[in-house]
Order: sequence, then structure tokens, then C-alpha cells
Amino acid sequence: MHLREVLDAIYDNHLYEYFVIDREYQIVEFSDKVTHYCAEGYLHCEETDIFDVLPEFIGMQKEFEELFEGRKESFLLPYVSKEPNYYINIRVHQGRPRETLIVLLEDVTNLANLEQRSIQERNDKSLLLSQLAEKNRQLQMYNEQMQELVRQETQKNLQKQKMLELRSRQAQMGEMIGMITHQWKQPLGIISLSCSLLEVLQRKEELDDTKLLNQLKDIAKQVSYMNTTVNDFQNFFNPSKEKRTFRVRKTIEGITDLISNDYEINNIKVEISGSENIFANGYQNEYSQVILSILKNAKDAFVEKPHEDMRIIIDITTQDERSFVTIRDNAGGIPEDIIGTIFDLYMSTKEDGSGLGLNIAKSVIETNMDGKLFARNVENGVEFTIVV
Amino acid sequence: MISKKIVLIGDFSTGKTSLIRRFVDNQFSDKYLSTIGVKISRKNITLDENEIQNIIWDVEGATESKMLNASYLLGAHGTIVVADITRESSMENMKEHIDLVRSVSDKTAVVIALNKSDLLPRDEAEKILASLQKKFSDIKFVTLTSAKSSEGVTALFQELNNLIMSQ
Repeated sequence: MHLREVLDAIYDNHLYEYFVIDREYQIVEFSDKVTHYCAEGYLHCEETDIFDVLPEFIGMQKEFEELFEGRKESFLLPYVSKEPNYYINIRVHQGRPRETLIVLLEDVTNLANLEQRSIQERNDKSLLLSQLAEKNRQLQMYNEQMQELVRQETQKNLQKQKMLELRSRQAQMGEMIGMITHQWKQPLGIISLSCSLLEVLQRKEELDDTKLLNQLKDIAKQVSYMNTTVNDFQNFFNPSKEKRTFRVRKTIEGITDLISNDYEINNIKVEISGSENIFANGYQNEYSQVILSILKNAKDAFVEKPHEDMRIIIDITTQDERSFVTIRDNAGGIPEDIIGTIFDLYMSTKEDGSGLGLNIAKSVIETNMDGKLFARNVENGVEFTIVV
Repeated sequence: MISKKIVLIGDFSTGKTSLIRRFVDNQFSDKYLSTIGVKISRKNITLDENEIQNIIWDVEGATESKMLNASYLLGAHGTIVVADITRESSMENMKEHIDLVRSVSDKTAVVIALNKSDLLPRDEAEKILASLQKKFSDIKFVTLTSAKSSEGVTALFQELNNLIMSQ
């Protein structure tokens, strides 16, 4: 085959088309099929402005100038989509002579379609991953917001708890002062009587050393009792620092001794039964305060509706190494519709009640001491059971 | 009539093709078809009684493995950097795209389109817009767009042409 025929054969089957343009950007030469890629209406390209034929070059005068001046050898615009369904690579070279540039158009439609499918697949996957990552990020953000909310709520609850503790403490202080007042009434009366007696004896000039000493002894005894009472109350209201095993009956008797005067004045009888050798493990003073809280509620109920035979019966038993204390009164009981709510915060049947006492009592027994505190109505009264 | 080259760039699947389709043909399709290479559209607009032919380059979106081809930016008069407002990574990558535009030509007018704004609650979209306006304070026009609802699309091209003509 002659060389000319070989070149013709190559040319007929090639994928390249070309333009040659001059310094005025006019097309001076072009290949046969280049018009496939020209803008509509420019089928005869010779002596036409290249920017009209290939709008892709609009704005690129600077790049063309660089090629004409030899500051750049070529530039490439890959995968340029052309109507109807072509993709071409456009490469612009310096020509020979330099006053011309060669614009080569390479049909890369098949390659582009393959790449499009590959990119589509990759992008679809990336998009899914990206959406997943976005969802994860949002989830993490919601988690952080939730944690912040929980933190804030916990903080609020802690503050509320502190406030409750403060109010409870203040209420206890008030109770303590009230109880001390009751306990001191009798010795103060005796001291007052002794003083009056001494004064009378002195006036009558009948006060001898023996009588004086006897009266002073009596006064000192009462002062000592008052002092003991204050110390007992002080100890009782100090929170226990650590859990320890204590005798249940002795602890309860300590409470009933403290309030005995008050209950005697109000004609309320307290009966305790059960072994001395039943033990509980926990915070003794807090346990005592729970007992006191229940006894005080009973007393308040009796004061509201007094009767002839006001009685509180405390029974101490043990089962499965746990102590059971039932405190039963005959003060009339709690209305059935509210007995299920008596341990709720701020729940009180009394007009001046804080609604803290039984709530804190339940929290102390069940949260701090892993025990149980519950109540039920019994005949003519209510029965509280403490299991520790 | 003067012609101005406008290039849309950004991460893949941010809605560049849809924005152009909305602007040029006032059409929209939910179907996502990845752009390969570049596709050029034309749209004539009138600005202050001047007719301008926008040669709009819809450039293949950037991915982690394939960055934007800088040769598409050659000779651009204006660039729209497009991000998907629901995809944080596409917004994070905007700075990289803007830097590339600046490295090719510091005279190109640049605007930002936070596309797909219809997919977010209004207040959330506006919050993101405000934060990106602050972040890209050197970009004169940052806006919410939705190719789907056509929100902000005309204004986006109009504003970019204003910037181009004022340079």
C-alpha cells in the first residue's frame, strides 16, 4: 500500500478533528468532520471567529496569547460535553509557524460514558456515606444536647435537693427547739419552785445550811438534766458520718425518752415491745429521725382529733437478718384516696405541713439504707413499717 | 452583545446542574446524574439595558479522590461556589474551592450558593447562612438557593452579573 493510502486510511478512521486559527482568532483550516462539534449554524467554519464556533474559548484570550507568544505550549479542556451526545477533549497547541494555533478535538464519548458510570456509582456511594455521616453527626449532636440537658437537670435537682435538705434541717431545728422547750418545762418549774422556796425561807429567816444545800442540790440536778437533754438533742440531730450496726430498741427508746414529756402532757401513751438484741445496719441518727418523724405525725393526728385512749404501739421483730419495726397508732388513719401519696414530695395533710418529713424519711430508709418504708391503714389508725 | 463566562464549582451532588437547569430552562428534576467533565449552556440576560450572554460552565463536582480541574476556570469572569446546605462537608470544602479559583485568577467575581435550602427549616437555614456570611466575609454575595423551589436562583445569577459588570 502506498504511503498516501495508508495516511488516508488512518485519517478516515481517526477520532481527531482539528482547526487551525491565526492571530486574529480566525479559522484558516479545519478537518472534514470538525463541524460535528461546532455550534449550531457554523457548518462552514473557514474565516470564522473561533469563539463563535467554540464558545468554550470565551474568556480565554489570555491563554491564547500565551500560546502565540510561546510562554505556554498547550492547554487541555478534558471531557467537554457537546450536543447531542458527544464528549470531546479540546487541546490547543502552538502551530508552525507560530502565528497559528492548532485546536485538536478528540472524541472521547465512549471513555466519558464509561467514566460517567464509574463516577455515578462512586458518587452514589459517597453520597450515602456522607448522608450516613451527617446522620451520625446529628445523632452525636443530639446526644451531646441530651447530655447537657441531663447535666442541667441534674444540677437543678441537686440544688433542689440542697434546698430541701436546708428546709428539712430548718424544720428539724424548729422541732428540736420545740422539744427542748417541752423537756425543759418540768426542770425549769422545779428550779423556779426551789428559788421561790429559798426566798420564802430566807424571808422567814428559816433558811439554814442544810435546807440551802438541799435546794441547791435539787437545782443542780435539774440543770444537769437540762444540760443532758440539750446534748442528747444535739447528738440526735447531727448526721451520722458512717454506717454502723446499732440496737433498734435502744435507738427507739432514745427517741421516746426525748419526747416523753411532750407525749405525757398530751396524754399519749407509747408502748414498745421486742427484743433488745435486734440490730440494724445503717445511719443511726437518720434512722432515729425517721422514727421521730412518724411519731410526730401520730402526735399531730392525736392533737387534731384527741380521744380518751391515745396510744402508739411500737413492735420490733426480726426476719432474715433484717429488722422490722411497726409503729401503729389509733389516731383515725389516713383517707384511702391519699394514703398512696403520703411519701410524695410536698404532700401534706396538715395546713402548715412542709410535705418534706415522710418524703425524706422514705429516701433515708430506701436510698441511703437499702431498706423499705411503707404505710397502711389499720383499725382506727395507721401502721408504718420500717425494714432495715 | 457581550459574553461572560460563569463557572459553577463545588462538591459533587450539591445541585450545580440543577441550578443551571432552573436558571436556563426553568426546569427541575429530583434525579441525580453525575456530571462528567464540563457542560456548557448559554443564557442571555438583560442588565441595566445591556444584553449579556452568560456562557455557563457546569463543572464536574469535586470528590475526595478527584479534585476540580483548574483548566475549566481559565478565563472565567465569575464563579459560583455551590454547597449543599444539608451536607456539612460540602460547606467545609468551599474554602478549598475558593482558594483554587483565586489561584487561577484573583479578578474573578465569586459568589456562594447554599443550595437545597428547601430541605431545612427556615430558621436553621438562615442560621447556617449567617454563620457562613461571617466566615466568608470577603465574598460579596452568599445566599440560600433551592433549584427545586427556585428560591434565590435568579437573584444569584443577577448578583453575579452585577459584580462582573462592576469590575
